[in-house]
Amino acid sequence: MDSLTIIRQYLVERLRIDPQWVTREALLKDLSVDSLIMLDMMFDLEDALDIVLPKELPVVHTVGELIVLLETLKLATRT
Amino acid sequence: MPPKRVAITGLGLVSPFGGGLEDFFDRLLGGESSVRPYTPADSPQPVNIAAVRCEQFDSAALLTPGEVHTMDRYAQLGAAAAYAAWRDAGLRDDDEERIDAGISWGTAMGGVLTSDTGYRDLYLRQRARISPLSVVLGMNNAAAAHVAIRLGLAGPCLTYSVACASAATAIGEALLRIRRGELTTMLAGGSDAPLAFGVVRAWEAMRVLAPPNGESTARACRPFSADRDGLVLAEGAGALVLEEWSHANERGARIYGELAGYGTTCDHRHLVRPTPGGQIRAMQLAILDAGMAPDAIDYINAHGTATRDGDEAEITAIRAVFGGRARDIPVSSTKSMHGHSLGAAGAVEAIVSVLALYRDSLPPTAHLQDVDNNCSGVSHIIGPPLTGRGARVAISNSFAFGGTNAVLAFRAPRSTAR
Repeated sequence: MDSLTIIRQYLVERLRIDPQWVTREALLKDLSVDSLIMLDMMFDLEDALDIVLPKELPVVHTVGELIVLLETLKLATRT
Repeated sequence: MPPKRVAITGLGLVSPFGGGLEDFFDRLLGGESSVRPYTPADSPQPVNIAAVRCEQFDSAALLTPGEVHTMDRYAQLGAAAAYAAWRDAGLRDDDEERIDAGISWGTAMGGVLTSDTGYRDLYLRQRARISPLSVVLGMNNAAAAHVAIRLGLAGPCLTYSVACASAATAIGEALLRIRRGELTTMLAGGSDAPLAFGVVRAWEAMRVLAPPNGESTARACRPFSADRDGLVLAEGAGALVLEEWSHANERGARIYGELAGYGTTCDHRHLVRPTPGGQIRAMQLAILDAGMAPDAIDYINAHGTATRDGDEAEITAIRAVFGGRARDIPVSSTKSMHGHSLGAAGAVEAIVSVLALYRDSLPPTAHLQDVDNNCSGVSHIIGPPLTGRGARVAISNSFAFGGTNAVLAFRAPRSTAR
């Protein structure tokens, strides 16, 4: 499953966000993602994508930026 | 300057019957029990108890998805009750900052369902880690914090954990703050959701739970009865909006009654075995604090959990406080119908007491037929409610493990009008 699908799945299941709002351009804060939810979501994504998160997470503002971060971490984890 | 008086302008609860405030009270007047057989979900071993669960509580309908996801059930129940009380008081339901309002909450167990889930993940399922939300879901002040955020309550945000006297203490301490003129408005109450497998096992081990009794589970809790057999665990939540009297009047608020007095003491004898001495002093202090004499009391909503020692100690204490008049004072324990919601009980029973005066209808102790000789000498309300007697003053007792006693005194609005 790709990163966007997994992010969308989390937001729909946990926060009941309308899936059509989960686009690459969407601001995370507009999708009810605050720092606490971000922590929880990254915890889920770590398992779903089999990645290892660094202790300090870079700040991301949009779904697109989050996808880039996840793809980078996936690559780093594999190598 | 005399201390400020405190009006009760909003009431809210999560009813185990599924309806609203009036429906809840009507069912208590009718002697209806919400006690049912209960088996915790995903129990690793068989367990079946009598309990009260708010089966019809729909968190998604009452809270935002973000709130639901970041709240333990005890906080969800509490927030729902608090928002209902706030709306009932006719106050604005937004997060604009209110520096003259705060929240005073009670919980005995806090987020134990979250802890239970975390321990299962770690110990039973051998997981290496648990949800990063575990701390914020499990903490005891989460309910109060969520409510403060949603309603912009910028005054004190306090949580009292005093076992079964938690909510009564929270309400009493809120009264003192308004009296001192620190602020005009306090949301006060409590919530608990203790029906986790580990918690049920812990209560079973104390040998104080009423057995489910097969088909007669609804009658499992029988306070003051000769055949009483223990308490019934319940989840629940109740909230009251307390307002400085002139503040409530100036905005034309409906006034359910006056929170007139508060007394709190400690038995200082034993962790779980109650002694009448501390209870006597708590009742006397609450009545004195309300500027009344014991003769003024028209109704006592008893702590009455239906344990052997607890009920006997309470009735002994009532007889000592009221002397010969005790046999004329109507007493009931509504826990026979809504169970014992621990840290929420003081709030739920405060609401019952306020409505009993507001509607001049005193609910009975359900399932009480044969009064224990050691619990006699008061006027137990048995069978139909007592209505139209002009009841004006009530006290509500909450007596906790640890020895803390908290008593609240209420006056009916018709006797407080100025």
